[in-house]
Amino acid sequence: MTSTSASPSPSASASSDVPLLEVTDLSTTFTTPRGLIRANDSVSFTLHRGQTIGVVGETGSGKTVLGRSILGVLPRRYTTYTGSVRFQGTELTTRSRAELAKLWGPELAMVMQNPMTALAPARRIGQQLADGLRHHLGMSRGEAKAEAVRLLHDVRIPDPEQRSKVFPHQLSGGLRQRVTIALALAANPSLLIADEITTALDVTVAAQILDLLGRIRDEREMGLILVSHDLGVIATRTDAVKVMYAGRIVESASTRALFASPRHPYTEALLGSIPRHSHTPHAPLNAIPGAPPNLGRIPVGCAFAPRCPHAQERCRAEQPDLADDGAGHAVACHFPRNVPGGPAGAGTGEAIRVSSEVREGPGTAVVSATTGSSTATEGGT
Amino acid sequence: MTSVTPDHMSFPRRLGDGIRAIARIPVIGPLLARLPHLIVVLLLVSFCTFMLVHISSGSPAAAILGPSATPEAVAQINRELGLDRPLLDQYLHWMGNAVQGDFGNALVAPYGTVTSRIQIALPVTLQLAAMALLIAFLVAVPTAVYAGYRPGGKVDRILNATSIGSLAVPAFVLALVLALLLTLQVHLFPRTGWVAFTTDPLRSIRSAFLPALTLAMPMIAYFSRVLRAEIVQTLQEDFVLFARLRGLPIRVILFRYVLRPSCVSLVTISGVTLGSLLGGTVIVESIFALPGMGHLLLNAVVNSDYPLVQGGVLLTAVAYVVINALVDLSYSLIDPRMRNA
Repeated sequence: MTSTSASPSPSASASSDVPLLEVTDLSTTFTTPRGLIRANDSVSFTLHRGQTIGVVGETGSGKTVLGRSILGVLPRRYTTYTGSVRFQGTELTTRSRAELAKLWGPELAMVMQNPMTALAPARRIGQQLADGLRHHLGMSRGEAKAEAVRLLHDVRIPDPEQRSKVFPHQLSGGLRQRVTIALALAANPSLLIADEITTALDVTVAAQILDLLGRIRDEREMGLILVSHDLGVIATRTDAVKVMYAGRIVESASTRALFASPRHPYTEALLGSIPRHSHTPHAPLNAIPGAPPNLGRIPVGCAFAPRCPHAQERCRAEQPDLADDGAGHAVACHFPRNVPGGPAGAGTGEAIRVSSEVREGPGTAVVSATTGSSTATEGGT
Repeated sequence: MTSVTPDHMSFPRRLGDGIRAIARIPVIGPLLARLPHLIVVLLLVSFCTFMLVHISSGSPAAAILGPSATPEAVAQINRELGLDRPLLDQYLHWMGNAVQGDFGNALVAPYGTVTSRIQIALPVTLQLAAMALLIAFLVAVPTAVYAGYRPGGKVDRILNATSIGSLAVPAFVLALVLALLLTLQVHLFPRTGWVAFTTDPLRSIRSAFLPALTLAMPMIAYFSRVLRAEIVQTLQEDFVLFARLRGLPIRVILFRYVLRPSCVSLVTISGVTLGSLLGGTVIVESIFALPGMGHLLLNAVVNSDYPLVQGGVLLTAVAYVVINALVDLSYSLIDPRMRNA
């Protein structure tokens, strides 16, 4: 295992030597009429089978682009990739679209944010499932139909036989997201990218969906990339976290370490901005002042410097590199916070309090305010 | 309370419930809902055509008797036809017969009842319209799908160029060019003439092919442009990306996922087009010498054969209204989300 020192997933130890996914210095640049936009900049990480990596950041931080860059699904004409994406040892960035498309479904899969728009409106759910089964697994019409019902049963859709005959609009948001998961998993992919899959759902349904995903990940030894801006989801459902800001990973650590001692001021601020039960009603939330930079005009130096309460001269002149502390906790900051022996994290009472709660065990009450359901019923994803 | 309510009060409510129960049956319900609309439209159309025909056309008596008719003979004919009575009287009389299926007799050779004349002409027009529509769909749908899939690509550019061309060329020029190319040069199709479908289906289709193709050409251009635009839009949808990421072949995505929800405009305009085709296509029928509705109505107008004109126009109006009702209904077939609305 890599940096995840205390992975809560039981199957993680079963992974082989070759990582499922190895992203090295991946940069994704869009050519636009207004110039180049670097949506991802030198992103690196490794994902093993059975492991879940959380990618967190504000809107516009490059989370969604990262997922789509890995799959190679961005419009080729305007997109340039540099660096490397190795999936089970083979390079993806140099592959043609047609070659990549062969991996979509049986190897790489994605569940999208909005289950309301991800399903074809004029095709019955069972048929949509059967389309993939017939194409990827060469099933006959009858076999595919039966398998579709079984898949719906797998994602815990009640009365799957009946439900396979309905159109997407006849289902609730939660059921629809279950259907998209069933669709994404129909051809047994080894990597699933879940892009903000619970954002459009209400909290109790979101918890059920995440439980389901965790269970399936364990059953199939799948690698899972959980993209979210919801720190509650990230804290309870992932083994390791990558915090993204302005297209770069600014902090990378095991989930436990990250929530125990956030080192980047941005991470610290993100944690501090979670509303809590103890929060005085109607008092302003601890929002991070300012907005993420325009990716076409990223400031010199650290991209977070204009919003950072601890920024100094050096931050505005020199971009910090992502530096590992030797224990798997990496941060891109000249003046990291909460480092043992370093400057104490002033004003991080919230984060420290969170950390003490995390130590009680995986998936406890840390984030009850954001997920609504704090218990990780399926053993903690 | 209920025991006090007299029986005759509850009866209409029960009747209303019955009607509402019938109205809930798919297809029949929506059609029933359009019935008042249909009746109003038909009354208006029939009244207007009746008035128009009587005001604008020359004297039917003169048409029947020829230029050398004496005033006495004209008066005699007018009396026989009831043309000396007030217009409203005449209209009500005509409507009274029409609702019983009697549209009167044609005034000019080859005579016969209006119904029998239309019965001969309508199948020609129906077959022509059906074939034109079929040809248009067969060409336009695949073209539009591929043009929309690759906007700016080869198929798209060819479509763009040819569709502007074929929309700009008048039907009679197109008809003559097609006739020249395909009949006189290749002898693949008969130049003119009509074989009824019931006589010999194969020869009938051959005889209808050229005129149907002439009618279809501008339709192809129009249909494919409209459909292409909607395909381009649908392809931006999330569900298309999701379908691609599931590894479905693009052929499956285009024809099973994208085409159907993109068909709304196409269905609308093909309904309108079909309606106008059923009214007859005078130019094409003339060039290819076809005994269709256009031919029938043109002659009726020229000859001041007002019962025939009225019957034909009424039929066309009914066709329009019915087709439009069907088009409205088909939206729920295209997009199941509209079913529960």
